[in-house]
Amino acid sequence: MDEILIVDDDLSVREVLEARLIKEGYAVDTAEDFDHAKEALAERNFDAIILDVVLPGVGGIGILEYIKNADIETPVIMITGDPNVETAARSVQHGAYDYISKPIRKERMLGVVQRAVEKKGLIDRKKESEKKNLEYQKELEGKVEERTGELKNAYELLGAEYSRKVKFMRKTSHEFINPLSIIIGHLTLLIESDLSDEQRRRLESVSENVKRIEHLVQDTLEVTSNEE
Amino acid sequence: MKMTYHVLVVDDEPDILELLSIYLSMNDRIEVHTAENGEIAVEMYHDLATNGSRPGIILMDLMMPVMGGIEATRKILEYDSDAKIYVVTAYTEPDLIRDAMDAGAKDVINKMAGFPEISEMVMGVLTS
Repeated sequence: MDEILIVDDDLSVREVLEARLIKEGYAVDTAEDFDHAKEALAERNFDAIILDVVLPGVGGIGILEYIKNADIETPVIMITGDPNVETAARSVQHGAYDYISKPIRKERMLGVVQRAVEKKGLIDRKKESEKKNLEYQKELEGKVEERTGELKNAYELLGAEYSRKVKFMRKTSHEFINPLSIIIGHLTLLIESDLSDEQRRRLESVSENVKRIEHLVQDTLEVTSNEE
Repeated sequence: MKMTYHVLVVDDEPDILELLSIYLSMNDRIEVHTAENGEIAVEMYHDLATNGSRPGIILMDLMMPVMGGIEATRKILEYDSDAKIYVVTAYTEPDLIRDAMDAGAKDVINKMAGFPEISEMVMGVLTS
């Protein structure tokens, strides 16, 4: 049920408006001055506020300013005394949603209240969807952060694994060098010794192939030299 | 009569010691002495130096049991700061080269160079 707050120091105006609005199906709360209005505003989120311009103390414009400064988004309908364009204009300037002039005509009043309540509905829905968007955004950000962390961990694991393998390759390649240089040393001496043609041919083939291995080892060392 | 050059070769691989000895001895002015680890090398250097056969060059392996090449290099240089120590290694990692040079080695020779080339280089150092 849409809730309307009526702020007027004139009891008869309050009663007439309240009765008409209740008949239309609204819930109504009334306040006779600024203090009571503040109390009511603190308690409930109204769908429309009907506010008399002429009030003792801070006056209707003062209460309007209070409402705007308190970030209450309920549309405020001002009641202006005599059809006074200047007061109406001033109210709108201060953020009033609309105004109704005395004497209050029922249809005009109900029409303005209905539009104000619809406006408040739009504002509420917009706020709700903004809130949902923000929640969704936060949820997404959380998920992105989580996934980024997972990716980072995976990347670090891969990096460590890669570096471990490169180190192993490099160490193994180094371990090849001693035996290779020993084999080549012996082979060179053997080939230079007294051999049959057949023996020399075979040893030269062994030597060629050992040198191929030696080149592979050198290439591996070169490739892995900057990877550690 | 031409003078004899003494060369001290230090390596824990018997085959490397044998092959380097053979290739170096192809030059009849070179007499090769071998040591299987750093500790023996330090002792041998003392003995050779006191017998008037001070090695003109030492070929030093790095990774050996008992005492490695870096420590042996330091110890020999403590005894004779003019000792010409060349590190011969399969491990040409920048850190190891830096350690060897910091210990006072003249240079680092890659074992892959081949024995004939290493012998040639040794002769160059001895006659310079």
